[in-house]
Amino acid sequence: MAELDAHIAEVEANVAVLKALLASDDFPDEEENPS
Amino acid sequence: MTDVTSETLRRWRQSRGWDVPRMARELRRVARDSGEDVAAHHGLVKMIPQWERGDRAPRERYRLLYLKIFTDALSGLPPVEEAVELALRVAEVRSRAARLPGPGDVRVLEAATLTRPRGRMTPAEIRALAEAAIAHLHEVAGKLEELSALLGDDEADGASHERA
Repeated sequence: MAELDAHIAEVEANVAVLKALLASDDFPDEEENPS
Repeated sequence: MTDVTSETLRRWRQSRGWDVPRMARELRRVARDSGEDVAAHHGLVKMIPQWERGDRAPRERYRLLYLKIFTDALSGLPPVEEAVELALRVAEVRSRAARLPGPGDVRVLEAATLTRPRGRMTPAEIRALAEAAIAHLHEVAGKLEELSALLGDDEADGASHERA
């Protein structure tokens, strides 16, 4: 059960990072070179 | 033991993960422990399927041996509180697994993330992250199957990781 928990946590963490990257507004090019 | 059907004998044996020869060994073991005289192993191997099919009923001494094995097995079960806690834990972990995205969803997320003009991670890192997530999803699926087999239930885990 602990192993299953660990795998679920890994998926949740990786997906959270991907979602955060997708939602991130932190794009230096856009911020540094406003047109 | 009179209300135990032949089918119950088979299901109970299988729930223990025992094949017929193992059931025969257990009956002989319990008989030996209590000083009973029972049929030879190969005789029991023939009789057990007959009892389980209902072709013939086990004689009293065998019914008592079954009863002894059942009682021993029941005394080995965890207390009710622990069983309830375990059931809740299983339900919780299944619920978490069911909320996970499927491999296809991860691929979509990966592709969408890669379309961003620049992120804090390189495309290779993003791909590696998605690959790892999918690999863990497969592990989750495998572990859920093991868990279901262990618990002897047919409950569909409902995990979205099965989605394409």
